[in-house]
Amino acid sequence: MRKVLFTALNTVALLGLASLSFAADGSAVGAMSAWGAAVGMGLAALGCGIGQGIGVKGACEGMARNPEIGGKLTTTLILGLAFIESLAIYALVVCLLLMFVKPFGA
Amino acid sequence: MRERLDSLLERAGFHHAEGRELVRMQIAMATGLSLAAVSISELSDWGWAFMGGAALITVNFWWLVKYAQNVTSNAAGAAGGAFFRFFVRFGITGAGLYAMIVEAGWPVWAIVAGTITVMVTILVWGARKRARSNSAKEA
Repeated sequence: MRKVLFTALNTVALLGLASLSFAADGSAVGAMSAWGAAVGMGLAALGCGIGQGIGVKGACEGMARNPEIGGKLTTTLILGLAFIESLAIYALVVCLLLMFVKPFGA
Repeated sequence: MRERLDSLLERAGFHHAEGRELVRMQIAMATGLSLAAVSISELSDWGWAFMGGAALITVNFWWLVKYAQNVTSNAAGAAGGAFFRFFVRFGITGAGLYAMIVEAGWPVWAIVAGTITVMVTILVWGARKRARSNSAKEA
C-alpha cells in the first residue's frame, strides 16, 4: 500500500513539474532542462552503479564458493554488465540532448 | 577470416573463449550493419551516425569484456589497471557521444541504433548457443 501511495505521489509531483515547465518562459525551460539532465544522469549512474555492483558481487561470491566456475561466470558477468551499461549510455544520450541540443528551447 | 580474427583477439588478450566469440561477433555485426546503413542511406549523415554509434559501442564492449575477464581471472596486480581502463572507457564513451550529438549534430536515433548493435549481437549469440545446445541434446 505504501509503495502504491509513494508511486502515485511521485507521479503527481512529476506531472506538476512537467506542466510548470511547459508553461514557463524560455529561460525557465532551459533551467528545467539542466535540472532534468543533472538529476537524470545522477539517477542513471546510481542505478547503473548499484546494478553493476550487485552483478560483480554475485560473481565474486560465486567464484569464492566454487573457483572452477569462473569461466562460466565471466560470460554471464559480461552480458549483465553490457545490458546494465547500455541503459546508462541511453541516459547519457538523453542528458546530452537536454543539455546541448535543447529540444524544448533554450 | 573467422580464425584470423580469433587469433588476433587471442593475441590482444581475450583468453576467455566465449568472451572472444562475443567480441568477434560484435565486430562482424557492427561492420556489416554499418556498411549496410551507409550504403542504404546513400552516404548521408544517418549512415555515418549509425557507423559512429556502432564503432563507439564496439570499443566500449571490447574494454568491458577485458574488464570482466580481469575481474574473474584473479590476475595479481591487475586490479589497478582494470579500474583505470574501466573509467577511461566511460570517458571515451561520453566524449564520443558528445562529439557525435553536440559537435557533429548527427541524428540521435541513428547513433542510438548504432549502439543497439551490441544488444543484437548478444541476442544472436544467445539464440545460436541455444540452437547448438538443442541440437546437441537431440544427438
